[in-house]
Amino acid sequence: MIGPSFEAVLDAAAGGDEAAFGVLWRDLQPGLLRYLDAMAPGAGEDLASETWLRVVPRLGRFTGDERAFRAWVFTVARHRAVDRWRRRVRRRDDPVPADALAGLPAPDDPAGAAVDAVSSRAAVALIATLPPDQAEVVLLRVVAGLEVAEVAAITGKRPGNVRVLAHRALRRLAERIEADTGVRGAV
Amino acid sequence: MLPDGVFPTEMPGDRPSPIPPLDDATAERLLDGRLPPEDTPRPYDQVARVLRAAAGPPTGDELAGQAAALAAYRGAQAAPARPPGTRVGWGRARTPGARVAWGRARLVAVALAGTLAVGGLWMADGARTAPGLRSPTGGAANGGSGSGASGSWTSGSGGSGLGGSGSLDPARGAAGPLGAGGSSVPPSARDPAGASRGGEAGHRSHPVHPKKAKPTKPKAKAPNPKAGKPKAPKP
Repeated sequence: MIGPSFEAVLDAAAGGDEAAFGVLWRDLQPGLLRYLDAMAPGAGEDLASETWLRVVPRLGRFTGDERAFRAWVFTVARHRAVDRWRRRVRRRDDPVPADALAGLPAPDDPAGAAVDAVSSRAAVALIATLPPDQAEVVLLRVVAGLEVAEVAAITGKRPGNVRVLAHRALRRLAERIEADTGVRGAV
Repeated sequence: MLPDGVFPTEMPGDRPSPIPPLDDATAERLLDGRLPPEDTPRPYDQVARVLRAAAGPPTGDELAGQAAALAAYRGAQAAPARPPGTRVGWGRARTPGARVAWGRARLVAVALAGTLAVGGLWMADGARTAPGLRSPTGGAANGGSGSGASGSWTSGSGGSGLGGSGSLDPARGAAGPLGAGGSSVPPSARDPAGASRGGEAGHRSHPVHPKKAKPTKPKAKAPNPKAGKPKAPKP
């Protein structure tokens, strides 16, 4: 979060100040990448670039505080991810490039990797193994730092549903980690 | 029966879990990152570590694209900004206000077209049944069936003057308020060619009686058969 200077930074970025835009970008880009990598494995970079291409021309028209700005940027990112998903559904026979496969989380033991290394990438990979709606809610809450109401607005769900999804996600994560720990302890 | 009073068969999708659920407050603090892993009840302490790692500081490769992002930002700033409310190509208006205005305009146009069409039918019906309006030239009936209110009114007054210069005035034909309903086309009574062209809606919605209309043609064309050809209204 940028904090109290957010308005000045946003105004400067909208006016063409590259340094101010850099502040915005560094604040949001890591979260965008983590969220988009989980939502669309292998396409996070491209979708994040598309998101910024949408956001930058509209910086001057945005009104609101920093939380609203974050919610807006992640809404744009989500739309990019949904558009990509729809394109892929229309063209299911597209060959998958090898580069895209390299970014996919390893299917063997993401829980163990996340707990051992506790790197952000491994943690996001573990969250991405949840059912998509649960993973999205957790990522928007944790990675994007959004409140329940903001997540509900972005995902088109009721706040109660968002809470339920988050609870289930936490429980499922705990189950997976417990199961993985038990297996490794037995070995 | 489970401890919370729910039969397992009532919730076939939920398997009984060995992990106890978190209470709302703890779950919120966990998701907000306000609950450190060491204060989190087992087995959620490991989950807290994972969530903390997911929200951790940016890595080098996540910020590696800053130069490219700045270049794109520079390009976007250099591109000429479109004033808000302007339309892009043939697409819809981009701003919400312009979109609302565009929607309202379309709504009004559709409502007006519908009103004119219904009015035209009603007037055509009235003209056909009222003996006083049935002129030998068939002006009212044909005009009403052509294209709505404006056509039927003007044809009522000028029906007998078929072939006159007024009925074929392109300016009058072009003065019609709508294009969609065919009302900008001169009345069919005064312009038989125009009737077949512009009164398409009228023909579809209300059958014209060709046997009644035909006798008017020789009478009308007799005084000045050449007048209609060069002055045929253009769309």
